[in-house]
Amino acid sequence: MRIEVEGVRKVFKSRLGQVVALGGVDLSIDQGEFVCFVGPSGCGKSTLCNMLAGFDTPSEGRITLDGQTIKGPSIERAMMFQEPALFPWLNARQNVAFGLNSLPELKNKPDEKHAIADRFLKMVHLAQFGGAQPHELSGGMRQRVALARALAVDPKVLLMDEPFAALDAQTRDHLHIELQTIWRETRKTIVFVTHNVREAVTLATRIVVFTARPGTIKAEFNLEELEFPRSGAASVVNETIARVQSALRDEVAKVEAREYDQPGAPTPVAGGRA
Amino acid sequence: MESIKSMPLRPQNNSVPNSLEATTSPSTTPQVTAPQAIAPQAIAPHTIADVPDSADTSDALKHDKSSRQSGADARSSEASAVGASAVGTATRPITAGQANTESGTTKKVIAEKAAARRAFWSDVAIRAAFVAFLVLLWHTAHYVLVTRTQSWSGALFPAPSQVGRWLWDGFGLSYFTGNYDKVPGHELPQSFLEAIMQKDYVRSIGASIYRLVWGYAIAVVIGFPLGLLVARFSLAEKTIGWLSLSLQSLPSICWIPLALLWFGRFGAAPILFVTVMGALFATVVSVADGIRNVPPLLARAGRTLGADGVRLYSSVLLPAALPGIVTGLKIGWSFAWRSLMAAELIVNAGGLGFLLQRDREFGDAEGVLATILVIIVIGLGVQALVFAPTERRLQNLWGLSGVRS
Repeated sequence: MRIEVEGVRKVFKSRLGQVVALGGVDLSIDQGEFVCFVGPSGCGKSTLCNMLAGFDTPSEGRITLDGQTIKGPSIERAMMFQEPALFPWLNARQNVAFGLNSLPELKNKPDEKHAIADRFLKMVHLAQFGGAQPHELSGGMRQRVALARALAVDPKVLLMDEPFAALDAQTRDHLHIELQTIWRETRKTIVFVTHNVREAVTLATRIVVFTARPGTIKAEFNLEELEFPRSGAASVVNETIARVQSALRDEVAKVEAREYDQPGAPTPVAGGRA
Repeated sequence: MESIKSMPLRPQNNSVPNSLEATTSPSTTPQVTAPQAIAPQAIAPHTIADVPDSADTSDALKHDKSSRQSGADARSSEASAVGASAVGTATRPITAGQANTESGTTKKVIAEKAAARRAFWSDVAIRAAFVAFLVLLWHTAHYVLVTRTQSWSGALFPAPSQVGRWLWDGFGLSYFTGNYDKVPGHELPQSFLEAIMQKDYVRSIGASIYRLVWGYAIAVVIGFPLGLLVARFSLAEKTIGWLSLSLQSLPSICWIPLALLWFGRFGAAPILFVTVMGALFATVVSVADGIRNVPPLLARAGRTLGADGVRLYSSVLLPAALPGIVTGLKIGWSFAWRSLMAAELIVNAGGLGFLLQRDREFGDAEGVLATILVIIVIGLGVQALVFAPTERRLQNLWGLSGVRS
């Protein structure tokens, strides 16, 4: 499995004119990596994630997975969103089994689908909740069902667009631990978009920092050497966070300069949001 | 934390410190058993609270409060369950937890059913009292205007009792009470069934419902796929969708002259035509709206999980649009019913609308009022027997209920 992003630009046309969201990105992602995209708001990191998923196409350049140009959405590249986006008419188990219906080898094998769904529910520690409707679950539980649903189709890469941003801090911490455990067990390739540097440092093997719009890659940090679990108490973790933040600081300032009235813009707090 | 489960309901304030304890000590203490045993609460946040069997409304209210409390508990214990399992030492007493929940759930279900039954009968009682009040008002007005001041003719403004008698006879029930009004051209009936068939209402209701079912079915069979097309293809939206919107605003009674010209003054064909035209466009518009209002995120979730083309429609968009579609079908039904009545009033082919017209011609105001009542009751009946249960089931499944106190 190898994803190649070659010279990708993305231009959106709006009422106010053209907006260059991505201004030429080259990137490759290898099997088993946990890549975090970090950048100031509007830098195109979510746009790139959408293009990886196939919901959007590059204006220039191309994105390939194992040499094949990405043309549309596929279960090879299952995506998780900020919202769980569970199907409210299905229970948790049926939600997890949903993607399995797309697999030809499981056609007309309801028992096997059921078993697979249960296995992944168990992986996210929701084995007892297979029969629950989404509205009966808490926000964190729903997002875990969504994670199980995306993992169940065994995608080549799991795309996560700020999946924990809507959760409270405590639930988020637990989900970080959970996601980390799952990643270490499965070594699934994961692309994870976030604006939270601490989250990125906690999870990633590689962090890609984007510039302010038009987004390009400003810096990359290789975190493979950093041991899991990465507790916030460890000094090396905090140092890494500081390094990534310093790379990000100018970019956040640029966005703020652009989006606030001048002068009198609030001076960015060191490190921006983290 | 275990104590929440066994705790009696009444001493409310006990649950507060318990939940606080749960939130402050989540993952740090590997309390594996407790969170796991409690976590199932979240499946139905009200599960644990025991409702006393003889609970009156104030009890139900208290219970509601406490269930909200336990909802908060469930969330925090859910969080701690993650923490505990991530530590990796989890040996989970699932069976114990499940056993507890199951018995709790059964109890809860029984209590919920009892509460629903109580709510239903209290609704019925309120409405019955309101109807009784209206009848009393009507009776008083009749007494003042007709009996006392004689400022209005009793033939034009009948008393409720007169209308009641008309209905009693019209449904053939007078067969039992001995005041059977002999129908001209018929022998006195030998059985109740014969009496029913000689009188107006059952036959007319049958005729109207028969036409309604046909007209509505045709409108749905044509309108549903058109609605799908309109939702899917912008060309269809610009043409069929636009046409449906404009024709929907045309009162269906306007089709009657054309229907009479095309299909003649008698027979069911013109009525059916008007009914179909009345319901068709409303159905198209609401089905299309139902699908268009599906959150785009659900469609994206479906597509990223490999659903595309027909399967995206059948397994994501249509189920997601179901609440909107049911509303659309309901609107279509009421359009069909109204159009049908209008058509029957004018086209001379039996049915409830025809009864209205006939009784007007004979100057029987009580007959007209009685038929109006029958039409209203049928409308209410279809709503209560067909649409309300469907909507309720959807709400329960989707969790849209519980907004009302």
